[in-house]
Amino acid sequence: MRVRHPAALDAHEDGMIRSGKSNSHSPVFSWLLRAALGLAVVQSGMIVAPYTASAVPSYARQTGQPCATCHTAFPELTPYGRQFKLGGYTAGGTRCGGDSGLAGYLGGSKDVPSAFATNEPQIPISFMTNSEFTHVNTKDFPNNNQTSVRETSIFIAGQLYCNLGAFVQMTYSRPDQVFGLDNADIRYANTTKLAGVDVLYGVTANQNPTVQDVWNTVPAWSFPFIDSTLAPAPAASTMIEGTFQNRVAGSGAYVWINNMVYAEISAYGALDAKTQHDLGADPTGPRFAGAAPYWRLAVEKTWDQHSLMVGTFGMAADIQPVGAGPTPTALSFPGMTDRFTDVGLDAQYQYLGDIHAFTVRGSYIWEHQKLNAEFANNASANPNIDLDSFKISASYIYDRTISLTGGYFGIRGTSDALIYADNANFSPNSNGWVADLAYMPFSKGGPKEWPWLNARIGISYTHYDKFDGTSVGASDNDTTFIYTWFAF
Amino acid sequence: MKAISFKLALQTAVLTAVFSTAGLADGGDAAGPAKGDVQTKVEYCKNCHGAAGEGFHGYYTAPRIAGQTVKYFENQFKALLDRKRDDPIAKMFMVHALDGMSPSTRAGVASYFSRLNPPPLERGRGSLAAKGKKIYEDGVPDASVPACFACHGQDAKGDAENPRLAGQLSSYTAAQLAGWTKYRQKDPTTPGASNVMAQIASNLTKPQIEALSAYLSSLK
Amino acid sequence: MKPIRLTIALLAIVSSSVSSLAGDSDVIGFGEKYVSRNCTWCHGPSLQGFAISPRLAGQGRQYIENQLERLRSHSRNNPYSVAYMANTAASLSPETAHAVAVYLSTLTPETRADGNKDRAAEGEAIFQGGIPSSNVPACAFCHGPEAQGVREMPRLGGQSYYYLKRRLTQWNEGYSGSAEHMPGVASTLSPDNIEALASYLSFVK
Repeated sequence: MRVRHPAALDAHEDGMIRSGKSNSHSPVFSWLLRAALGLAVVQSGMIVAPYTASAVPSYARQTGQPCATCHTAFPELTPYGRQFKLGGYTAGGTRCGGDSGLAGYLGGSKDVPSAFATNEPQIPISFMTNSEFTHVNTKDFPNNNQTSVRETSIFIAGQLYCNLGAFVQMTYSRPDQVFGLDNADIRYANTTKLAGVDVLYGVTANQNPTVQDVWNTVPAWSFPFIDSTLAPAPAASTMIEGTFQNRVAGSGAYVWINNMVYAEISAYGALDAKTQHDLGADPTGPRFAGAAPYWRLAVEKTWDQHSLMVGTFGMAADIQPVGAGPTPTALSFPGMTDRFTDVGLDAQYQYLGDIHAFTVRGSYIWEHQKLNAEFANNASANPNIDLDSFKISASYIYDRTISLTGGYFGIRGTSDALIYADNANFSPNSNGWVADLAYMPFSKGGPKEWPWLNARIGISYTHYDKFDGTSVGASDNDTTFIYTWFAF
Repeated sequence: MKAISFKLALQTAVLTAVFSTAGLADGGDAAGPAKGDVQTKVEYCKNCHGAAGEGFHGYYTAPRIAGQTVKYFENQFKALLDRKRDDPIAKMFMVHALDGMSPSTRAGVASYFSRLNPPPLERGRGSLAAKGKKIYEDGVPDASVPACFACHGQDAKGDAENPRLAGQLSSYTAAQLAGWTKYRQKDPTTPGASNVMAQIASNLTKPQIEALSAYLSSLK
Repeated sequence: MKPIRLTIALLAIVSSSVSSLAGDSDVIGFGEKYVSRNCTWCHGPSLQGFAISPRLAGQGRQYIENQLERLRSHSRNNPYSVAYMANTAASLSPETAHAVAVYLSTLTPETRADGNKDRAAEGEAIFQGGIPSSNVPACAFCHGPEAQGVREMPRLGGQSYYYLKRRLTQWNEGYSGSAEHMPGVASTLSPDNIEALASYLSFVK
């Protein structure tokens, strides 16, 4: 559940830091100290929340497992976390007809108290809050060195009933001052045996292509897992990289054969402007016309402490551009659609020792845009453009408590004087790297008073070698981002 | 310092080495079993025969060896090594287990276990044990079965080549009695064999064997 | 007592002690329900094992019950047991643990076959006869000629090579043994022996 910087939600949006004289003489220690104090003040205010896991604590309560069972460093998933999600988020649940009658039968053991030991049906509600401090390299940046509450979310996550489960996150975003749906994935899953082979099958309904996936290679769940809502971000991204979160709804069916082969077909359709607005989405973004198919195939070999996945995913959509005319939510070129096709290749290797864990993951997305609508209306210089997005990152996690991640990202595509009018060289290209150091003190169990508490406190640095078409001044956009992230 | 001829030094070294290893090889016999070796082997035996030699039920059953007579140990070791004892479990495990154990080590192991006396692993079943007691003390005159105590002792603790039976696992005793001729009489001249027992075992009925075994298993 | 009456009497005693709950099929049915919701997501949809979680299908009832108790009480103390299973086991009452164990013991185990094939022959020799010269006892004596296990001694045949290797190695690292027995046995095994043994066992049907 990464929350994207709003600017990146629209592939064609503008408003980024340009090249300019860089000024980076702010004493690092002083603003870091201010950041830390600011965060502490802000976050402590948030802890007085009515109730007390991304790591979703309601999953911990339901399964009796600590966060570290499903997550190396949340939200990154272990093989068990993937199994839990593919199985419909219902493992450990006792809310199922006759099962709840079994709760009394199950008893639980009173002589060996465990905070996680309970067989009563759990209420699948959790909360999350995070706060951020952002420092951007250039002194021209308007909201620099700001500490603020970033988001507060309520989750409905866990077994709803029997084999039906959910991961529904509703978020109030402080910077945007909007409360809306963030991620929603409701699914039903079951297992059977076909020709002696275990087959898990399920259906999912969700509103963000790739949110239903279980590998940390796909856009909805890839590194970096949390980023600043204030910092600049490259303007260009492929459509499957979150552009249509909350603008579409879709459903599909999947199978997970013998814990090795994952295959899914889904389809997404547009939500109308009013629904988008009600869900908290920005209705001025582009819209799907008709149904857009989505597919995903992954093959994973798991052996002992290792797993290796190679896969592909993609989506093809007819897109109606929005907002070029006087009304920001109206179709720009009614009756005309672009055709976007995204094809991704991804791979992930994970090692899970009892103390050390290590993951390396990468994805390469090719996007081909047939700009039928724009080109016919002189809104693009080219009839077709390509846009490729490449990400690779590696994480080392010590004792599920400290994680160090480094990643490279690059987006590269056809230059177009009209589509990328505001970019240097009219090029969408950006690339750079991100490093993140995070501390998760409660992965293996929270304090005695509230064992399902989980926290991630981290510092992230993003460096741009190229930003929106040029390397000149790209590093002015370099961002230091400190975050505290609590779930309970 | 005088230079010492290398050749001489080498010869000396080789001779020393030869004599000292030779000493080691016989040292066991000459000075009594090397303690370390016996201790290690004893632990090895305990893996199957129980932490105090009281016997153990794994997938297979290993008999009680605690308190067994030294002479009986010696006879059975010989019968096993000479491939004269034919019961399947003994063949499966004991021949191989005795591999490479020197006579002195074997003697040391036997001596060690003969001095142990843990409580019996099993508790003989009540009424069956009572029946077994009767047979043990009176024999079965009608079937030409003499009273067992005459050779095995009032307390069933055995004497020389007549083994201790007290505390022996019932399934083991029963199996040996039922299969005596097949298991033990392959070569009647071997010390482990016994024509007397062959006769007795064939004269006992199955219920009598079960009763006897139950009784013996409970004896301390 | 006539043989037939004795047999019936014995059967009655045996079956009533096995099903301490109302009806065997009830026990198995409940065990199945519990296991499918709580155990399959880590141990595999058919309980044949997954990642580091061992195969449970076809494991001995007594062994499983003993392990659940030892996990609850933290006397089974190796890192993965503590991290993943201690809390899980804590939520099981003795009745549930019994039902789970009975159900799992009825399942057909599948051979993991994930060891080194070329070490298997050597492993078989160790398993069947031990290594008298280094005082390794014959595993088959307790675990059965097909490593099928009996009573509290687990079925080893077809278990994952990685899991078996890890357990044997852990005993040599000082972690507790289910039987006081096993750490001592493991101490006689060299890493090479363990490699061969674990490989062999993973192929045993």
